[in-house]
Amino acid sequence: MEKGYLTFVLHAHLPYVRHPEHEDFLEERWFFEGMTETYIPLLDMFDGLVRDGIDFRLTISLTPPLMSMMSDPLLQERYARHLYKLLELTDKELHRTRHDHAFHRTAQMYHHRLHKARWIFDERWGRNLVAGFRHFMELGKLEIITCGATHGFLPLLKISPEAVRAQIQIACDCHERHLGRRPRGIWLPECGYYAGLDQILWNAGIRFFFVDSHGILHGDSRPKYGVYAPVYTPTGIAAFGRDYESSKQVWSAKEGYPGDFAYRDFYRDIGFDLNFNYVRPYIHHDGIRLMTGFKYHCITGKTDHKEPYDPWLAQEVAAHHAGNFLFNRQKQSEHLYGLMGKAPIIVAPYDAELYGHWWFEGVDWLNYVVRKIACDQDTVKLLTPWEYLMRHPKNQMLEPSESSWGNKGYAEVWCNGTNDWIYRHLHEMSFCMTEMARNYPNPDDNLKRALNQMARELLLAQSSDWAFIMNSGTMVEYAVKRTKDHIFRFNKLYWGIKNYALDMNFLDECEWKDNIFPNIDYRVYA
Amino acid sequence: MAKKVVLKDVVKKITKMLNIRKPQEETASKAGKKAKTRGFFGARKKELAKKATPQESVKKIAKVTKPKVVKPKVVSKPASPKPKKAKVLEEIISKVTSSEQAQEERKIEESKFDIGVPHNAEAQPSYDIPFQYHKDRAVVLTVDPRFVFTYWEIKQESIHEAMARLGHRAKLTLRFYDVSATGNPEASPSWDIEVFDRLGNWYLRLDYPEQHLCMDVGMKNEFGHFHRIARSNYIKLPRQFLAQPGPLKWMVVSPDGQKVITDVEEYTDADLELLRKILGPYFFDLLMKGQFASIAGSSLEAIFQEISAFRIPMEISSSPSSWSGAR
Repeated sequence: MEKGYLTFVLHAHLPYVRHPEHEDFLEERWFFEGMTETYIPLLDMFDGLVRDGIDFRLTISLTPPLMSMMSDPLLQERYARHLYKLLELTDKELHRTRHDHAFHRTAQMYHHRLHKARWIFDERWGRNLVAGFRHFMELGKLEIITCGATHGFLPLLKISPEAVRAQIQIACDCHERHLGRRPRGIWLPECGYYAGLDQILWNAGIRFFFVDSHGILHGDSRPKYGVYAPVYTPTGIAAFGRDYESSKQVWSAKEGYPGDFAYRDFYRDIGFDLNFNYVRPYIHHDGIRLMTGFKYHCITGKTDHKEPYDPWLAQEVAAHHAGNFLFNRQKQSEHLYGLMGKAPIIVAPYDAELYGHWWFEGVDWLNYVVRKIACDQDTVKLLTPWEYLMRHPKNQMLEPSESSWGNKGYAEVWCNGTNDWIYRHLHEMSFCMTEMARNYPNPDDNLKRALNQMARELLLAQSSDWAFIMNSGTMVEYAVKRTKDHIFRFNKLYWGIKNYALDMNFLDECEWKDNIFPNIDYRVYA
Repeated sequence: MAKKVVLKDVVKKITKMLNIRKPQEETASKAGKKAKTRGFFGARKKELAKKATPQESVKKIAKVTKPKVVKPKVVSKPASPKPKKAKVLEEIISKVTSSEQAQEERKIEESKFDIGVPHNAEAQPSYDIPFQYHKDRAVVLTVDPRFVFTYWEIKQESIHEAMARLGHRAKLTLRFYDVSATGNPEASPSWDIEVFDRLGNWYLRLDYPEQHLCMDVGMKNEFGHFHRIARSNYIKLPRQFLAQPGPLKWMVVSPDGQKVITDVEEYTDADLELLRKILGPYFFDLLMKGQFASIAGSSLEAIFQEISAFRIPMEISSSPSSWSGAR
């Protein structure tokens, strides 16, 4: 009999980046890298598990921007082009490293992986990876949950309840359009929760969400079981708290598994190491060196000198770490079962992009963990949050505290000197959107298009990624530009309507550039 | 004295063991993290965005340059008591580790936007956005259990109107209300801060978590008469500690959403002991100290002065006898 449940939650998200006005746009590479290194390998892993008859349960949040990009024909075409370039490069790399065994084995690994990625992308799922995730959802292996429509950090948007409701409602609509059903759960953007949000979630049909550990521990009553059992808010929606122990083992780049010296180093890339003319076709068209994804060195240690990466050794280490992780979860479960008198639920959420992108061996590690859980023991069982609630419908009632899983536990990451300037604009836009939604309940076609486009611009401006990037200091200019562009477009449409001087050419251009949520209805802001 | 010597030796030992930060992190193409200073009146927000390097953060907390690597431990029963010297060492490492872990998590989160260049390769012109919206507005946002961010905008006409009532010496003023007790600003203690810009923002450090707050922006003359121009939203700061003991309620929710409170039980010492065993001594200690979520010594703590230095207490006849001072 199982002594504990383990819920892996993979939060897969990228901001909506799509620039049809440029042939090649730097920031679209975020999407390309995520596809090659995380999302395709995950689908490959799921295929392997099903093929081998391994029972598994994972929870994945696919955010609306990510699903929109995955299913967008322009981005599919651009990703295919990017992938073919990588295939060309991998052939060259095989040739270049043919006399150096230490690097050649890694080149062979990339060759195999990229050809497989092409097959998975082009042929297995017909260039739309959402179909792949949906397939495993329908097999009962994945619980796919939603997120905010554009990953807006809701505690800082709550001054406009209509804006928060729209983020949730539009996300649920998008989820249904892509996956054929309404979501049961939600990954709140950055786990940003505040009192009263549960009512909005409940009204949208959501039945569970996640908070960071202190969201539960600082709740309005003391949680009897800590974070090892969910709690119900007064509206009846369940809140699951993150397990800090399993988080620490994986998240920490130094102390946790990803920092092992045998693993592939994230920073050493041939885009910086090799001859400029050789890598020229595979970096930015302006000649700016950037990462290609071909990395030949392992972390090695706290040293400048990096040893050649050994893929087979890394696999062994990943398997060893998987065993260690499972061992710790078993001990944790046994200990908690003895204390609680029932099986604890250990919630282990991570950014999906941790696996495969930052931690190259991460997907393999996850694969080993899932297989070991299924085949090597029966103390710990993989479970989704919904399955847990069906087994254990009685839980403590508690209002979680306002919190986030961001650095320092609250809102500082998204509200500090680098990014606080955005909020007077975002709030003003929210109020204006509500004003327009109420003033124009039955517009003509052109006006409706303009109002819907205003809603898109507002949503895209609200993406918490921009504030996050401004805070991080990398690619800040792009984040600032995106925020300002959406503010400008929104205001121009707003005043165009107010002054009876709507610029239809400008509207066409906005619709062409910012085409997320084709079926959006601005009246959600009323 | 002997205790101090032991502690010093321990710190020296750690300092020797530690290495300089990985050079490869410096070759990675990341934009320089500039401190942004935006200040406009005394101890307004300063260098909020100043990012400490991992080493500086580490120094702030434990005066060491690098923590000892700690392998993930097997979880079993709570650790048995350790000798005093080792306990001090663990506490220092734990603090450093926690801060470092937050840094490492952030580095991993940021990696999905890291393609090796700190700036966009192409110069991207961005549009001008409005400097103001010609509205009277005040907003308060929660940053963490002790800090709030406020912004305001006041129309020029509104200032003129207020000055016509109060006199030409009236000054632009923010008035904060602690409405925790009454919910009614007019019957709550308050304090004022004079500002100069009709369009501005401010970070405010408050006294205690769970404080209910709202803010008025207005004009005040030399006689203390205040004319409100805009009132903000109401906020309640988050809890920073475990809640006070109280009854535990249990609910059953069916798949179709029907919910029933099935029973209520008293919270006992045994429940607290259970929680302590579940969390383990280290995390339980953090929880009881209010340090579970955030690390002491954050940039906000370090930068801001106590707001009481700027307060002008208001005497309100129906208000509680003491206004919200340091607690």
